[in-house]
Amino acid sequence: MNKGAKKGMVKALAVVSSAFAVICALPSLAFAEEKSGVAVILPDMNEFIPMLIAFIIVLIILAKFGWPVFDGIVKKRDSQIKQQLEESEAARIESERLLAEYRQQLADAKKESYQIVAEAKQAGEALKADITAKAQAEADNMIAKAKLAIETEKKAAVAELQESVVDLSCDVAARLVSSDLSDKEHRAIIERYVNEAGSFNAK
Amino acid sequence: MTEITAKSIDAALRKQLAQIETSLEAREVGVVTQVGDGIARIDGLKGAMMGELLEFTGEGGKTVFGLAQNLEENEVGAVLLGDVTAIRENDMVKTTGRVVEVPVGKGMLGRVVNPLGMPIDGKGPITPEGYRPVEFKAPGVISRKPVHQPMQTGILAVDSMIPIGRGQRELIIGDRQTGKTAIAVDAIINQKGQDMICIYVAIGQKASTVAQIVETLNRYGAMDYTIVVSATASDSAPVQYIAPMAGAAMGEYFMYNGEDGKPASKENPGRHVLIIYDDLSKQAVAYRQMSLTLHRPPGREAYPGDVFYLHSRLLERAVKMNDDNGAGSMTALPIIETQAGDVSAYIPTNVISITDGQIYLQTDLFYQGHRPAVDVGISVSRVGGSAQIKAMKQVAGSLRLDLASYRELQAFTQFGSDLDKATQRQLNRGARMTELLKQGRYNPMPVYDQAIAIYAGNQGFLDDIPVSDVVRFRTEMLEFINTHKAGIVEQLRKELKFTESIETELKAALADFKAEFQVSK
Amino acid sequence: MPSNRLVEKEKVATYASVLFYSVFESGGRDAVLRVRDEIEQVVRIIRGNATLIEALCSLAYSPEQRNTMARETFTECVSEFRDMLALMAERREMDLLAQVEPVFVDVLQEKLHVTVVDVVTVVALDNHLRDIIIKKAASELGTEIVLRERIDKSILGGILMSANGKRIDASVFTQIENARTLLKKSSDGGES
Repeated sequence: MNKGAKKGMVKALAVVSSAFAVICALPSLAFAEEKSGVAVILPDMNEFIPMLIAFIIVLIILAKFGWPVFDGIVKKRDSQIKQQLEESEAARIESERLLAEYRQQLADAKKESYQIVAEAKQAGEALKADITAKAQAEADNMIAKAKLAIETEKKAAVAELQESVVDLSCDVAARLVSSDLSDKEHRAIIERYVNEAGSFNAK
Repeated sequence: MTEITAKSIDAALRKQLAQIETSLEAREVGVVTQVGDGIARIDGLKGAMMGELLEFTGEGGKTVFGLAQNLEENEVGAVLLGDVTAIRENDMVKTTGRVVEVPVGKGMLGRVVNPLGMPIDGKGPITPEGYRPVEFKAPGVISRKPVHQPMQTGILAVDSMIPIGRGQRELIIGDRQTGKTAIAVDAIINQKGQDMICIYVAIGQKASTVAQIVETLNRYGAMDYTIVVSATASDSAPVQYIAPMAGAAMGEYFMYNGEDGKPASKENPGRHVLIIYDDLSKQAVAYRQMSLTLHRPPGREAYPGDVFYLHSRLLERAVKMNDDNGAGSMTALPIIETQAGDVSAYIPTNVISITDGQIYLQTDLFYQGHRPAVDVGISVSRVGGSAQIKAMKQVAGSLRLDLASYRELQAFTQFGSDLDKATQRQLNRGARMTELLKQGRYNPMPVYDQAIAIYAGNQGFLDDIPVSDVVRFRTEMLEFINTHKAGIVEQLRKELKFTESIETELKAALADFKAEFQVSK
Repeated sequence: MPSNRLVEKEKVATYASVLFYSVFESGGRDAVLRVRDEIEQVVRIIRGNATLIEALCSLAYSPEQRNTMARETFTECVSEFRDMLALMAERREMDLLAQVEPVFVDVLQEKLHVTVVDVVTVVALDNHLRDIIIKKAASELGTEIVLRERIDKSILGGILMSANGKRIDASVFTQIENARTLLKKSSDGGES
């Protein structure tokens, strides 16, 4: 309860108590004589008039001072309730909006998650292909290298063999020439070479 | 498939037998008068050419090749390229009429060869597609073109601030144990799938080091497009001396010829080659030894007078050809080892002045944990900027500024507290950017990733990350973007620069990632 | 020993011409040709024998001692050549001998109009072969030809001719070696 309302209550109490005081101040006639019959229910003018006057005074006082206070309280209360109603309405609308928003976000997130999964799948796929290709290339490379190595080994072996063949045949030739040729044959060779030989003047 | 049968060998021999021609031409002969220290002095051979290949017939008919170097009035000074001990005084020497040549061709890829092109990896003989002279004159001005394509090393600090273009010569210089070779090896590994042919020339290194590098390249699948030319410390000085030139000759084959082995032209583009000379200071030392034993007059630091010309003509062979000549390129990354950070020694100054910039590696940085220990303050690339992709150019500018102001302000931090907000912020940014450039070995980064990482730093996404978490942030961020926001990288790859839409998307992605990033306690 | 290049050259020329004329005076063409062979041999010996050349140039001995040493070392040489060697040893100029050789040959060729062709074979030449070789060499070199024949079993067969620093190697040994290297250089590893 707000401060204004409290103030109003205090004010109203003050008015009521003052009216009560007026009533008490009037000479008390009510208990002066006993009545009977219909007179019991009829107003005793002796009592009625002062009571009316007192009532009117109280009414006037109350109308003058109490009513605005009550009216103020009621009005205030009224506006307060109205405001609260409005607020609650706004809150409802807001909450509805938020709900919609959350729903939207949820949907988005779901979509995104699907997308991410798809992308990851794709990336994984690509990576797999890449790794496979790389491994394949490496393997091919290794095979090629190994083949090359075998080839060079073979070539080296052939070259070595060839060398020894050459050495052997040259040695045989040398031996044959030196021991098996007669002087006459030697001379024939010399003659042929001399005739074939280039000039002394050649650069 | 090759079948090892007597028949196939027989056929091969017969085929070659047909090629034997009994040439009985007169050849000039001389006699070894003195031999020692890997050089021989020869009497006779009045008609020998400079740099001509000489054939020494040693004990028991063993043939050793030599290189005519000093042509004097009465004798020829030659360096021996083979078994020095097989040659004695009075041995016979013949001229061959050829200069030193090395076998070239696709068969060399994946192989380890010595500077004469002979395989030393035990994988059998190599079938060459041809031979190229070790000494070859670099192409002239007309057939060249300015450097314009990037050669990505995959190293953040290098690609962002010291960009290297195809056809450039970028020196890698630093003390021993500063990670010079690591940068070179990372650069080779990053060329995978870039249609690049790499040649790694090891000069005067330990054989174990070379073996390790070959092993690493094999492990990362980089040997498929790499030739390793190895002249180890135990090889004779002349062999070490010709090693870089031999490597260059092998590279030139790919640059001057198209995929089909025919000379490159407009229709038949030449290949791109990356060659690493590791390292030229050892070659200079080998050349010094050779020259001194040949009695050439010593100059500064006892190097012969033409050591500058030796390096300049070698590095001049790195080139970007114009479209009429196939647009091939040869990018050279020479390595020079300095002694106690002294770049003003003879060989470092020479090579610095020849190359188009240098990547400078510092011992202090290395031990402070900045790896690669590139000192971005004094490292430069004089021509690479025009070869950088636009996105990188956009972000690298402010990175450079941030780091420069950081270095400038760093001295103040020594004095402690009284720093205004702006300074604090710059220091903060600098520390994180420096951290951002750290990178592990064998861990090359694609250029778009690099650009994104630097972009994140420039936009201040790292400013409130603890310094110790920056590298982790970078790794996880790139992983996040490459898996979840691959569209951004794709777009960047297409546009090659940061457009407004890419920037907004990227910023959003970075913010997303950062929100989830857990700072380690 | 400080030496001017031109002075040295002059010295070499003087040694060569003095040697040539003195030998030619006393023994004629044959002696000259013999000296030519001897110079070649001595140069080879000196080159292959470091102690000898060291001793002959050593300051530890007096010039006279070096002179006698040289004389006693090369006793079998033609006397004029021996004198020259002794003189060279005395003046510690033994290292010039290698340069004297070609100059001497030049002088010989110029004055006598003769080119010496060294021929190495496994069997002794007969007159028919000599004729062929001389005819061939003469037509190419445009001078009179003198053959220096040597027998060497190690070339297996064929012939090795050399003149004026040029050499025609038509020995069977070299042919076989060439074939060996060519056949070994397997270009296709046996795949046909």
